[in-house]
Amino acid sequence: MNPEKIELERLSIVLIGSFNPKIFHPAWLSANGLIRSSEAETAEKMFIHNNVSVFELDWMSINVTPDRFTINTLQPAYYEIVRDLVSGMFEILEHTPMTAMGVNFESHYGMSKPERLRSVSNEIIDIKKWESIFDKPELNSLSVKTSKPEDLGYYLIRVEESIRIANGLYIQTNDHTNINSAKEMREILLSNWKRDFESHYIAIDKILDTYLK
Amino acid sequence: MSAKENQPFYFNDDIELNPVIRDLVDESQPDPELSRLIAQSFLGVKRDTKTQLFIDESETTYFVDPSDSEPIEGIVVKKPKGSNELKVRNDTLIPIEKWEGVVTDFSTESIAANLISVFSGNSTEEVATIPLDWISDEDREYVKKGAVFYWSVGFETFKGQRKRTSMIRFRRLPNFSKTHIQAKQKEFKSKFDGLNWK
Repeated sequence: MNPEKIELERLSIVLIGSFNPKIFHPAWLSANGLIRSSEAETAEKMFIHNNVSVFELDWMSINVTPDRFTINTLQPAYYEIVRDLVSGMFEILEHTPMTAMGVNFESHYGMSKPERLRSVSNEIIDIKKWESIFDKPELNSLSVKTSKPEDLGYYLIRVEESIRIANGLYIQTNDHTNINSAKEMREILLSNWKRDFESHYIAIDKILDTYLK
Repeated sequence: MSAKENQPFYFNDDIELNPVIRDLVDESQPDPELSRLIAQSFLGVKRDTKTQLFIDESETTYFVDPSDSEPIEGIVVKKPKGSNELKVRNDTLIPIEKWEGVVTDFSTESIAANLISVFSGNSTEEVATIPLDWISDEDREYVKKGAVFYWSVGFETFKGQRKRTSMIRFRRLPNFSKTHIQAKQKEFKSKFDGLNWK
């Protein structure tokens, strides 16, 4: 068994636009056939107010304000189910104004030894140059923005040492896309899904291949 | 308890609240309704009761539910340690394989399906027969030819013990009302009627 592997993951889909938070209620999702009725009945940490809607099911959490919709899951088995849920919600709310979508994957990658984590952390920020300027520098958080081929947004890659697992490297990829409507959001979410999903793991491989000396 | 009734929320460094909700709370403006909603949502205060908020002289926040004799103290969710901390449930299924399936046939005992591996990245289809018992009661109404489902096989870890497990879940599409479907049909008809076919 490979001792180095992804130990924790999260998917979040973030939409920027104009939302009516009160609509986003577990009972509404259930009434529209998008989640099981038993799930709606057992939603936790539910908080539905004029300007915010927050609740959790076993496999996801939703957080909606007038200008932002966020859905998260920490369960990789549910990634496609979360994607379909977002698509289903905004198939119903098809006239929701939207300007941007972020599909974010986060992974905590466990390294077999502290030295290996240190090696990646040091290489990725070119530690020797920092040491020539400051005392005891170390990687805190590194964000790199790259362009997308279609020029419709950008990729943001963030690398940190994990605070969740020992000897872990935290890598987040954010695929940011500018959009004009809920319909366009759904089309892009569904058609680019495989690419977004795979590019996160390709990014992890490339970062480790490049910086793990 | 010496307390001031219906005061706004008091926050200190030990108190963590969902930042979105925290932004709603104006610490200078009492909002008993919002206070009650937060208490009910996050502190286990029973719904449908008239919860009251108190702050005592030591500035500890209490929620008092008239149906209980003991007050409930403050907002006690721990503050996150940093930006990349993820709180994971013990029963999280970590998949070692995941398939997207399409039902090709079904009986009272099983379903036949074509499966494509999500992890392998290739599009080679596999054929499987899955006992109906493996599908949750609430998903069985979705079992029909052409229905899409997701099947994950992996393990859960609980108290250091790993357990092999499997999860099947059918894709859910919105239940559109008859009125919505009729409106869409009308919309498409008007679009097609406007075309000049040659």
